[in-house]
Amino acid sequence: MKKTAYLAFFLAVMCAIFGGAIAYVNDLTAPIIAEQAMAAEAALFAELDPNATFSELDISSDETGLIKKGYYGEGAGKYWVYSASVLGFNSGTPIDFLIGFDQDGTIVLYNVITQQETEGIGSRITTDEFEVKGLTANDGISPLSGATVSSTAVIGGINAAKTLYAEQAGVSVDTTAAAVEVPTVTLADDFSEFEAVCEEIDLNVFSCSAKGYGLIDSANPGEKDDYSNNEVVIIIRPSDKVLVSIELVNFGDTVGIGDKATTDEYFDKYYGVTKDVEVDIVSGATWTSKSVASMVQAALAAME
Amino acid sequence: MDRMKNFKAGFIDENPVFGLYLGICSTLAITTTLNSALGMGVSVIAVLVFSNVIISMLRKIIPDEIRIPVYIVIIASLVTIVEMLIHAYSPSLYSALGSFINLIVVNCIIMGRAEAFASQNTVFDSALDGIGMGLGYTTSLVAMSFIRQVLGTGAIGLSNPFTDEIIFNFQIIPSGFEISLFNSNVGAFITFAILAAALAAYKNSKEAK
Repeated sequence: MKKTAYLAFFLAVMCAIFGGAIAYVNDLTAPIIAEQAMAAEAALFAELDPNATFSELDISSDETGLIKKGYYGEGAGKYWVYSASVLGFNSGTPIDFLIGFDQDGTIVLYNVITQQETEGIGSRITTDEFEVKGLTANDGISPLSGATVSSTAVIGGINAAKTLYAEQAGVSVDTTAAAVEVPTVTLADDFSEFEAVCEEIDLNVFSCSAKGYGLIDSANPGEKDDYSNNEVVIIIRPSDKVLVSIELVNFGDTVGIGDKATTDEYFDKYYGVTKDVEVDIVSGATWTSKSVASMVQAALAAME
Repeated sequence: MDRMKNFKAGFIDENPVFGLYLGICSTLAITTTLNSALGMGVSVIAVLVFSNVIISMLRKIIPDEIRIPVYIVIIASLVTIVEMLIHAYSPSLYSALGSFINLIVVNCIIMGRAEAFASQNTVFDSALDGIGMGLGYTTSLVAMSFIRQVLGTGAIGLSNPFTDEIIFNFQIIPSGFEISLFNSNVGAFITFAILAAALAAYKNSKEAK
């Protein structure tokens, strides 16, 4: 018994000595480690305002548990930056991102630090296609169609950050703002006002032309001279009447606005379409999107 | 005791990695670059030398019945301290080695030397043994990482772990001709097997003489 007590005592003393040593080294290194972690994240939002100095915010009022850290910075403007960690489609690896607001409520920073979402699908949350930056804290954010799980998870994290931001910046923010649905049209809709016409220039190859925003709805009729028809060349596979190619020939709408609906990315949404299917509209370029849809509809009709 | 022979044992005769097959787990995992191999090697040398010295100092007062738990307390504490120091002063090394720093605790080389050597020898000899074995381990890591990095990435480079400054970086194999297999686990096993076989063949031929 005495022996056992001695052994326990000896082991306890050893643990105490080495525990003390660890505590001592921890005291030395913990501040350095904390400083580095902060510097590493601060480097990520240095682009925001290189002259701003950041200090850490208390985020204990976050009820969602999604916000990992908060920073407040002052430079040319005032910034509230939060780092959030949410689970998307890949339940093994969270999506870690930074979201930052300025004093006007504008989202000035959205930066995904790590994510392992499905390449080409969920990973679209890292691209400009997922429109977050530039919106205000009161705007709803649209989930990405086709990448709903990942984008909705990120939006959840952004909403948690908005709540903290509202509290800490002393502004009121509507975090319940409904997300804007990605608008869609179906190729069976009535596009007659676009006056799309298609001409079969080669076997199964159609040269199509339709009016866009400029010729139909331009607020300033005097400007109409600058606008023209949108024109595309469409190839349809005859066996199953499926669109296999669409290429832009002439863009007649507003540069910088309508051309968001004539990018290769947008045209990709049309590959494989048949008549009656649903296609997305590019938000902010509705007229041009519909103009493209009307030409696809006309080409598919000509194939019948 | 022949100190020089004792010191050199770790390199060839009792090479912990390729001779005794100890500490292989971390060896296979972290030998993708020269930098992590050297970082791991130095960490293990530090832990090994200090654990050997402390255990040797305490060898007369540690009760025999609980010597293993005591060794574990000592080794785990040293590893935790080394881990905190690396985290604080070399974040790039810390992220490269990841959890393998913690796994030094269960590196059999350290426990093995504590039990087989430090608990029976003087402080000075134990320190020497720690350095020798540690260098043997480090040499093995460097040899493996050199082969894997050159074949796997085509280049060999070294950077200062404290400042991330590049010390040297040579492209040896033109890009497009590297064998990325060597970056993967399979490449680790292949390299390990070849080096272990080479060491065994060398030892055999020496015995035959």
